[in-house]
Amino acid sequence: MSDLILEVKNLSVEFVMHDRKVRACDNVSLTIKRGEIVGIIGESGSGKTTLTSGILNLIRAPGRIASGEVIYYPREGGSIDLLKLSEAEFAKHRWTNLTSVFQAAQNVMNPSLKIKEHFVETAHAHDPNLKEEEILAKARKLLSQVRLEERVLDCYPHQLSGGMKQRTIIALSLILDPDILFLDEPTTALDVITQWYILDILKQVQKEYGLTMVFSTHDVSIIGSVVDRLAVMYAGEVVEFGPVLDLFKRPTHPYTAGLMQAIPSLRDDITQRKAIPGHPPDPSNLPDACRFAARCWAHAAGLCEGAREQTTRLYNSRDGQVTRCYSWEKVFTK
Amino acid sequence: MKRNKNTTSGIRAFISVIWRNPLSRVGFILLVLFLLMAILGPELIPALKSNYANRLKPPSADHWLGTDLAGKDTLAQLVLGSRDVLLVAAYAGVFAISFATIIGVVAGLQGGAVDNALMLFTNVILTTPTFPMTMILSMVIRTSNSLVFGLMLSLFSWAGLAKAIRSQVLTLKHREFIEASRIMGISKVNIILYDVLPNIVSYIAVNFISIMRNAITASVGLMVLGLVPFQGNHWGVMITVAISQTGALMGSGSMVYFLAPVVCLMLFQLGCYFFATGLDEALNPRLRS
Amino acid sequence: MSLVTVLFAMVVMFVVIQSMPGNPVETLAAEIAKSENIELSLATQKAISVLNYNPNIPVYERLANYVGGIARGNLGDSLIYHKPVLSLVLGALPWTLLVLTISLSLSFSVGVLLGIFIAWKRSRWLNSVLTVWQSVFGSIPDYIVAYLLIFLFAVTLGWLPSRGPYSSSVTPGPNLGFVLSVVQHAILPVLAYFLTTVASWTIGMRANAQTVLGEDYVAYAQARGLSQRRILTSYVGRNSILPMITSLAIAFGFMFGGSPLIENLFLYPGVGYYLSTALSRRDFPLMQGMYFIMIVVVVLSGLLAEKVYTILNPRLREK
Repeated sequence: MSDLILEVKNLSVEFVMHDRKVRACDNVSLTIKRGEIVGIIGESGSGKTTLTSGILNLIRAPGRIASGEVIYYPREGGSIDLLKLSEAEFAKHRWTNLTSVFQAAQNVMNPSLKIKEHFVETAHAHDPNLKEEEILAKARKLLSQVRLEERVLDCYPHQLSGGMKQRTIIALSLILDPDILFLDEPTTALDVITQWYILDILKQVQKEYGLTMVFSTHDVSIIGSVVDRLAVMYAGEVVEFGPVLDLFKRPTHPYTAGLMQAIPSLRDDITQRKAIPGHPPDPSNLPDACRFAARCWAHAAGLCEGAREQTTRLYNSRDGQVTRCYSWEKVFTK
Repeated sequence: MKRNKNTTSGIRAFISVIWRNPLSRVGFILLVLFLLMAILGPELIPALKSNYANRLKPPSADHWLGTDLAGKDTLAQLVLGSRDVLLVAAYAGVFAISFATIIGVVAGLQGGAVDNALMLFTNVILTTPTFPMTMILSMVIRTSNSLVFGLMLSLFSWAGLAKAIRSQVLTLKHREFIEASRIMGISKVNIILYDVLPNIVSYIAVNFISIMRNAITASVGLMVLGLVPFQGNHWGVMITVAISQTGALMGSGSMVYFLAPVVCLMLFQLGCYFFATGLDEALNPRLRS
Repeated sequence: MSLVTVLFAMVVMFVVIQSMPGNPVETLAAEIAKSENIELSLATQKAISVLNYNPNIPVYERLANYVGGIARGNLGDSLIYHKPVLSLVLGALPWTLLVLTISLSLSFSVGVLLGIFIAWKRSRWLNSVLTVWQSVFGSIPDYIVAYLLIFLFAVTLGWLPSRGPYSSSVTPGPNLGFVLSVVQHAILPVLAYFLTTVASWTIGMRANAQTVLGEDYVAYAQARGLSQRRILTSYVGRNSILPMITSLAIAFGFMFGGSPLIENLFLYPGVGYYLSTALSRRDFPLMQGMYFIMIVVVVLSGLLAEKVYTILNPRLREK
């Protein structure tokens, strides 16, 4: 088994709004191994973005990290609990070790700075002694790896198309040789062709630099071809986690099964595809039951009573695969 | 009958929204007080007599705010002056709103050459420094009464609002309900009266208040410069007299006579400002919810 | 557009002179004849040339003459100062510009810094201070504030001079005494403008900065490990000041328009002072000269702001 790079333990993020607490991310634990690509999938509002921001300690008021640890194992050995660091200490790890490509990447660059200034300021923020020429030489190399021309450096963000911006950001995220790259819905705003193009680039980059990637999306159709292991999130919780192919073929949580059912494919009849009926629960008013119970066919069929106490932990279902459904054996032997 | 009921409940809803916002509540109370003062005050206070034995007295039990240089009671003058202050400002507001609405709505609905010409004119007015222009106009317009004075002040203060109204009309113009009215063959006048105006009324109301505030500032300014031979009671006249004839600034005992209208002016402006913060919310159906 | 504005101002001025009660030429001719002790017919000739206005020719020709004369820089002579209006205008403009540019840059920069600071810190009490400040100073006209300042600092405390552009004891020229005296005399007028305008700059800037702080690129800059300082200056600062630049011209025009009151009060020999003097003493050539320079400067400042905005905004620059 390859060594660990990041361990998330019982991470909870709370938002306090109108005197009500909303746990957007509830007791999430994940282990990420060096060099793998981990996918996080879930509907919008399931807590993927909050989880990523929580790991990177980028939660903004009125949100706050309520509890949990994020342990990072650097290449040089040892371990660091990232959430115990001060803001200034954490800033040292951002971009040198942990980088991110955000959701809505269309608007993540400063409209009044040229692209090259983004590269230079990022590098200088971590090492003010770097020569501008060195930084730009590296930026050119990275840009060519994401299949962009050098002249992009002299452009302003608004002069680039959506796909070009996204590729620029990927290049920008690699400027300081990071360890882990977090990608939050990196392709959502793009058209399908550009999506595949970017995914292709990402896979290549990952191979070349031996990067670890955490890739979150709501789009089931693209994730299978990209990631090694997949975490499924529902209503702020991880409901299933395991190797992606196993999850596709032998899901052990009804929600995962439902998601897989919903993927359209060229090979079969579209009428066989069905979406999961119903809506996720209101996060400020969660039922005292299994959070998926209201939409669960097994619960509806009386196979499982959906008790809350038994869904507060994860169960080993298969080798390397965990599920929150305590009745998975009953449900999936059927 | 039904319409009447709607109107009363509308007014009640309006007041309750204003009341809920603490700032606009204060503003509302201030404005109502000033209105009462302007409407009832002059009816209740007898004509002031000069009493030269009693000139420039500090506040006392008989004269709460002291007396002016003719021995007239300052408080009584303040109350008497409020009517003209409010009238001049209100006339200025009404005229400016009318110009702005007519020009904005016509330009927006008509489009084309009419729009271009009107907007050129509006932009010219907008870039012209307003106060100096009004100063110069005061040379040729005899500002003998509040109506003419208000009209003069409004001549150069409608342009910003006209532009805003035009752009509001342009966005409304392409909304379904207006398109529908047009397809149904409803006349332009009807469209303006029933579809366009109700949608911009909150905008106009907020601007009415700000135009009034500016008109008051400008009217007092013109008086202080001695450019309008305004007859009657007006806080501006009091301020002018205080500065030019009693040497209020030189530290003589007449500081109260100078400060009294200034404080009233400030309170009225403050009332307008506070009231306007809640007004938009109260009148704008989109913000109300 | 700007030309149209200037032309419009001329036409208004022409109409004003046309509709003055009485015949301005006759009035002036009588005055000239009396003061310079010359014959009435000669005085009439002189009055016509001074006013650039001949009642004996048709209206449109008069208008053309009038506009043409001004375009050639013929602004006539002042009736009360007996000097060419052009030289009075050129003498007055620097004083006004001095006070206005100092006030504007001061209130703009303080407002911008304070606005960013309040948006960044989300300080509740600073927000309340700002609301109170705006309620008070937004409700008193600037000239009243100026009166109160004079009363407090010049009359009661005697710290600062309240009249004129510099003390009579210094000799104008590039010497320290003169410069100090000019600065001393400019403090109160500048303060009057500053106190009444700084809050609206702060409020505008706070709103812009709040919008920018919510932008993804600020969150992403943080994720890239940029220092707070860097984020505040080249992210929040740069992008939220940009929309304020066009407001600068509007504020400048507004302050220029208010200068007759402030300058009259401080006896500050700027454009506004001469304009109000000209008006109260019915000196038409001086009045129109001062008014035109006001229009021209305000229009130019609008053009300048537009230019600066285009240069600073990369979205517009390439075009």
